[in-house]
Amino acid sequence: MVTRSQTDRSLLSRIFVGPTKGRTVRRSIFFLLLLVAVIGPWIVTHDPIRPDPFNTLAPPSAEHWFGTDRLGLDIFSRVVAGTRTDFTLALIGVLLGGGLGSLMGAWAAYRRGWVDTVLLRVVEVLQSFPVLLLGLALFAALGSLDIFEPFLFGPFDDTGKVVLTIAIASVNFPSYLRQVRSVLLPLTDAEFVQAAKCSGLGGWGIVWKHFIPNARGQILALFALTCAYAIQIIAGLSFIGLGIEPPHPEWGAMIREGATVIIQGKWWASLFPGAAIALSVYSLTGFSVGSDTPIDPASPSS
Amino acid sequence: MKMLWKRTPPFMAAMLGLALVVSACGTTETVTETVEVVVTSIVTETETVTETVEVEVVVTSIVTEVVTETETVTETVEVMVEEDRTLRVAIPDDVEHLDPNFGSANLTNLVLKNTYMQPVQYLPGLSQGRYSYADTTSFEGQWVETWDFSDDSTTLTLKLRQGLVFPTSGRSVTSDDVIYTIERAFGVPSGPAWVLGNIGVTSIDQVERVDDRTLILNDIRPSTIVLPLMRDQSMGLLDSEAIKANATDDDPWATTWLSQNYAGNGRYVIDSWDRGSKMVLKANPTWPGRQPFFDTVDLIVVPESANRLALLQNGEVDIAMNLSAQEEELAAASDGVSVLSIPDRNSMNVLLNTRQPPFDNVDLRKALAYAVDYDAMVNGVFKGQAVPSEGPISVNSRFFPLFGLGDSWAYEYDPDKAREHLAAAGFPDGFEFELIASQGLPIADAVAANLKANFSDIGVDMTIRPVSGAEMFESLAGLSHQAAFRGGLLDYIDDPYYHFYLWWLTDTVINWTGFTNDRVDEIVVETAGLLDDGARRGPYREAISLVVDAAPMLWLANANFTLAISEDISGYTHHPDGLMWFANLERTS
Repeated sequence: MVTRSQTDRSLLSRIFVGPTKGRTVRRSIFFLLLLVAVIGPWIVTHDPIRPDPFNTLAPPSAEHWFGTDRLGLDIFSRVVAGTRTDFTLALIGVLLGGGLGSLMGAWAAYRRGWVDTVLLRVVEVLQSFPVLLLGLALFAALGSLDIFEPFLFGPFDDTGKVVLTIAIASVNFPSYLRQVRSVLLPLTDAEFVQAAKCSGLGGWGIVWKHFIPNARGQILALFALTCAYAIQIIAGLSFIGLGIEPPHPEWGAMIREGATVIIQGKWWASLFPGAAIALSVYSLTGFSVGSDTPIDPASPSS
Repeated sequence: MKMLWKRTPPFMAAMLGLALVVSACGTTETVTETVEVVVTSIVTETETVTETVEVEVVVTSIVTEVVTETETVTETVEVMVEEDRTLRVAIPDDVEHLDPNFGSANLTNLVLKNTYMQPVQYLPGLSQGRYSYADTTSFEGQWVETWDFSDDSTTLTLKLRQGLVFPTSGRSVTSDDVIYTIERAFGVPSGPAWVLGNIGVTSIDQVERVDDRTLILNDIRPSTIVLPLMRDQSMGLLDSEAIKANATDDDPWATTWLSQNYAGNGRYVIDSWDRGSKMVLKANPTWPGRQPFFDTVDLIVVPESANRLALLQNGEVDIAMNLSAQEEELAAASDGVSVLSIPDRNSMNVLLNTRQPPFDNVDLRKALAYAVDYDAMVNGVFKGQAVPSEGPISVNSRFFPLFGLGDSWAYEYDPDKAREHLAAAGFPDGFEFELIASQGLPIADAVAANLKANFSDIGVDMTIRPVSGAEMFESLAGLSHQAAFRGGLLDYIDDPYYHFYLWWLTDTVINWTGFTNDRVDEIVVETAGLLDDGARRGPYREAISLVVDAAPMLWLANANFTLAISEDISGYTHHPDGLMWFANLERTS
């Protein structure tokens, strides 16, 4: 049920304050993590990629808050630095896959016919691969190629990150396409679409101005969920050794690194990056649950 | 707050997961497994008697104590009987195949060495406490009873040991088996053909059969490494009849059959091979000499190093191979377990490709050599289980003091000097390059991360790319790498000619740096036939200086050979090839 008080709030308050206390807490955690990702380089206590070989697997202490790993790298600094890596790759990967998927989903719904059929077959093929297998295949096909080198910049300073982003985008593209298509399919013959056509607006113009806004709620709801899932995929692929160039920090790779010593009672090397993943995924659910309510296009405020 | 907890199942699930992880920490896997086994068996026994959960728990706990005690007593008795003459070794991976011609991975070579009989083997040297080094200047005959070189060392007469039998067929060994083994080496060009070629035997026509037990190798190359090469695991004697019986038109040397079947007569024979799980070796009953202490050797495949450690700590295996440095520290601290740390010639090197930019520039290579913090590498990364390397010949080689090589080394940790070389090379602000390192090799991660930090101090940006073993070899063989880290580089023979022939001759077998120097080539060729170490000293000192000055490698450290072993196992003899020789091992009370 949509109440007047929920829908009248400003956009900013709707982003920060959830419909329940629980969601507000989760959103706060997310923005805190986002802040950590932005200011990470200024709050780390040690260089996250400089090992201290004389101080390996040190337990948490005043010097190393989260301890050190097998190479003598400071885990706190790496967890902080890993926030930027995981958030950046997850957000950009989802934006890329989700954006393209939404656009193509809307286009499929508008055009129907062979365009719709071809696009659906493409996403069926993509979705038939298990996520990790798809990631492995992409790394096998693209990982050793030099084609990305001229484009490496900013957060994408190695080929592994680019391929990881492509993997995230490939996983998300089908989900968005299907979701948006199914939402917009009933609107193909709607009066406002016919009116737009009569006014001379082209196909892409109709999709952009009239179709996409009608799927906004579903896209945003999906966005939060898929970002959470993307973080898990990045960690999963890094856990099996794909992705980030060592020793650059990434949570999944850190868990893998720590897993080799956990049986020796060195719990800290895996626990803290694991907790960071759990916290991130948990915080992102604060946006997905019920996010369709305050931005429902049919609501009085929209 | 209460509502918050109620409405946040994901949070609670995450916390529950974390709690499970924490609770799992500090409890060894073995203990958990033991408890599970006992409880399972008890529950099975008491299922029919008990119906309610409460009653079952009570009964189980009572019976557990009784049965546990009973089991312990039973096991102790069995251990006394079974393990007395059985050596159990936990290995990380399975043996690849059983054909001596194609030995490659260390574990495969280890099995081939112990189950096939080579012409000769090293004699044990002086005891160093819990181990001894093999005496690389003394040999004992295996299938050879005596060997005689002609005065000019171009002819070698071999007399077969009396009474040798192939245990699988019961057939006596004759000269024909030796000739077949050499013929097969040339027919299946691989390891033994290379070994034979190095001692000058390139054709079967050079092998002369005198009688059933006598052979002469004619026109061989005089060399210091003839006998050391003949102890190679690839020189195992083959049962010619067994192999011929399994040859086909498509596979005349029965390579497919021999890869999975046994046709040898080593000090141990292969009793069974449960692929991926366990291989059982039995002492060869037909060996005419003294039988080894252990009549059975179980090679148990345990992929996880942590599990190998746990098995050793619990006394379920006697030796755990390939543990990490941290696990060896834990093993050394355990009751009844010790870690042999044997100074060795194991080289930990970065191979720079001298034929491609950027390392076709000698100043850049020298810049990196001065930028490495060797002390941090030896005492930090290798935890003191290594010594600084001082060039191509290991400081633990017997030739290092013999040739007085201490003054040939040039590089110490000196970032200022490194920057000078960078400037001289025209890269005062540094440069970028890629290092490839073997995937999943813990020591490679540690070495590479430390090097990256060292190099970044002088403005050099090194990218680390983990690669598979196959990609590593492809890059090295094709010289397509810029830099590669290789750990555990060990010449199977401790000899400067052998080392230079393998590494530094232009375009030679494993010249993975692309190094070329005309004077070095001359020296290697000129000294090939020299048998007197005094005569070789001068030329090799010159060659070594030339190689060190060119800095085609970063010689990081000579790591110790380490082996986690039960304290009641004695008699370990360390061979230059690093492959264990089971026949010398014993269990002491």
